[in-house]
Amino acid sequence: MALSRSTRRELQWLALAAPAAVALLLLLVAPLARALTVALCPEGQWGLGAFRSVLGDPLFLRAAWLNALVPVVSLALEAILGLALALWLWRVRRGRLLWRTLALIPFALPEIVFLMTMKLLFREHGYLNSLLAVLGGEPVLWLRPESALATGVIIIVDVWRVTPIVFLLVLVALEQIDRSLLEAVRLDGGGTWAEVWHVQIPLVMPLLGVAVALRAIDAFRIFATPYVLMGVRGFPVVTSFSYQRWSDGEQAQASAAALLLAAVVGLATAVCAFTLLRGRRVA
Amino acid sequence: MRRAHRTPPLTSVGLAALAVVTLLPVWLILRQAVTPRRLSVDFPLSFLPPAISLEPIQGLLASQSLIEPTLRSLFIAAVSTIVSIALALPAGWALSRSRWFGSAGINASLLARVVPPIAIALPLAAWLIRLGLSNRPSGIGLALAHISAVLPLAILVCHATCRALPPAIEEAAEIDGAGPLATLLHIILPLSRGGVAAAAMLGFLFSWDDFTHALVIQWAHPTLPPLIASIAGQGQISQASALALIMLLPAAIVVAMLSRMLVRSRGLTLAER
Repeated sequence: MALSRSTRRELQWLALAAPAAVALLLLLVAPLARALTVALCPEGQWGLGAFRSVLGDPLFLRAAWLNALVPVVSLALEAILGLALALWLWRVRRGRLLWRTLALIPFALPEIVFLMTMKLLFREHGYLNSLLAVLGGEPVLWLRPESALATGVIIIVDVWRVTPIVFLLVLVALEQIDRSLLEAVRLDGGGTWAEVWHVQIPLVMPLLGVAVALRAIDAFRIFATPYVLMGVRGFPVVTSFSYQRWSDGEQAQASAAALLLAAVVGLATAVCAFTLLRGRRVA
Repeated sequence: MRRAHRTPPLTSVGLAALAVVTLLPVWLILRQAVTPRRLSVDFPLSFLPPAISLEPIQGLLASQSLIEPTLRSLFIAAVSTIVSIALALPAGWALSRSRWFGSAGINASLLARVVPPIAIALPLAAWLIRLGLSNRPSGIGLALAHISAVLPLAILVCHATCRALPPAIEEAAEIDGAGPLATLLHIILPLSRGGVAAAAMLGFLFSWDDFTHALVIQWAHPTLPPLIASIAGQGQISQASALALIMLLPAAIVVAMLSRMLVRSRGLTLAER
């Protein structure tokens, strides 16, 4: 049988993509399917029991609430601070390589190393309380479980680490703006603020949106930050709840919690991607 | 004529604050790594080391907790990066050319990025235990888990790189009698080495930094991140900090590369603008 040239081509592409597809099936799809069967069919009985007991668990509900609150607040802060930092450092001309490199450091540090320093900073006998003690103040329990202060600390730590990557993306976008647009503002008698408001911010907005959307996927999968700083019980999020249940041998509940998170984040991403793509097609 | 630039005082204050905020974590690691163990947690802590000593670093060099986990981390990062790239480059090339399944493959790779690591790591750990691949001293099971996380990203990067290459080059190679594998090795790989290098860097750093998968799959023979967490959790801050210094080395290389990009960034063009 003679195949047409384009069909032969497509079969060749299929052969080239096949090894990666097989690897992803074995290492990604199969484990997900396995998690699904473990959650839906714990002891040979199909049913939603694991999902029901997870959704009725106060620790899970707390984890779900914190898993929504922390990413939303930190993403908003990271977008604002990253944009402001980029707009500001873009104007600093002297030693700009030094300052721009410096601004990236928190994100470049390995996560666990960064989190260890944050633990040293915020724990009861840590650096921050040492500073307070030297200044004559009372020590503060920054990481007390179930306190609003601890939630704030977790958010600060997240913002500290993630703002640099938003900064980097916005800075790259700023560098690409045509200088003649800025000169036009100057010729019309506008100052620095006019440049920022009427040229720079509108032009970097689309990229900032993409950057925040990409970071959002990671933000909702938050695990190491609360786990290292406060432990599972001290500051539960959905992934650490899942890890805890798994360590306790409750595999069905562990899988159910992880799948609920995957479903919510996946759905949100699909909706976002759809809206973004549709917006682009209209534009 | 060169205009003399004076930095305004407010800018100087801002830059100083920026330097403090970004350098503080690095400083704390250095400060703890040179503090003698008996002084390492004396309250109140000073931001300057009370005494300087090489004791934590020497202790680390003498103990078992340096060489083996470092080599294991390096091995796992190298294996997962090389395998991911070897699978992702042909796949990314094929997806950038195929009319049948190009966009479906890209959507699948994007979707794979959404799954929380823990949802993959837990069932994968159960399987690796059954296959006897979990907790091997070599860490081969963890390398497999890292491939599952790195491969979708590597496919996306390789796809973006290959899409920018003109198909005419491959067609010329085909007319000269080159098969698809020869074209891949001799034409596509050299032309897309920038993208391949970027994907390799991202993959290596992911594996080197990964904490979540390592915690679940490789607890008996740990890699560096869970080891640092457990040593620090036992209160041995000096030793954990000395170990953290080792983990910083690849990060330092990446910062150096990124900063080169920042200077040249005006020459860069984003694909979708």
